[in-house]
Amino acid sequence: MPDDDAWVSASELADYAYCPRAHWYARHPPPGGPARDAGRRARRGVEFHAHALSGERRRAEYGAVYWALLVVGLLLIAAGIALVGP
Amino acid sequence: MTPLLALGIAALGIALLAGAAVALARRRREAALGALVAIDAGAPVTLRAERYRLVGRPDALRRLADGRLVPIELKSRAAPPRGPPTSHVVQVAAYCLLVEETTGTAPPFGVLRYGDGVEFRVPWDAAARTGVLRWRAAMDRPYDGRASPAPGKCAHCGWRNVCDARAPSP
Repeated sequence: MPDDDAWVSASELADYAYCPRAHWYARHPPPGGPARDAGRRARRGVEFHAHALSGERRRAEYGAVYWALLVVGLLLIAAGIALVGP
Repeated sequence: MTPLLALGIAALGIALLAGAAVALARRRREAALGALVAIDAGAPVTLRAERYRLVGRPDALRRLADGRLVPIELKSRAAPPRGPPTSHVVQVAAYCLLVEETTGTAPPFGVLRYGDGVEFRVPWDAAARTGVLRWRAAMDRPYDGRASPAPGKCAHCGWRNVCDARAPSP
């Protein structure tokens, strides 16, 4: 991120569009600070992103593995049925 | 071989089959937006537009079959019933602007994907460009005390306890 304060990030732009006052508070925190649940919400958001993005990356990189697991699953079901057998 | 063991093997097979089928369905939907070229999980990319002093790191970038890049922004909340709020649209539009400025090729749209899997395509057109540049210009002006209170919004705002402009609770 550039040091120059005049640079703005896309997420800051979103914060400003959400509410200019909230954006101002974020840059100049008033006494009393943010609500207690703000940190918890932020952490939940970070965890969601980490989980969702790592999943997307895994699915993009290891597509063949999922096909293999699908086949193994089918084989196991068939084996289970065959073992119960006539 | 006991029937219980056979049942266990079949159950394991069903679990594997279901897990793999769900993953492949998701993969197929994600791949409809093209190949993954960057993701904010191990392979992030930071985009910069000197001209607008704008910087950003989309959650993911995918390349369509025609070579154009599409930015994707994830939101943990469920999709709003009345469509994406302005702030989300502005963020995706900013990523579209950054992609255009960085690569020289405009994306056709950006994507907003919510926690419940619902996706919205945000068109990147003249109106979107005008909108995002207007917000960018507004941020360069000294803060004049403006606020945009709304009951639903203020109820979820982290600054609701100290804000003197907040709307009454819904």
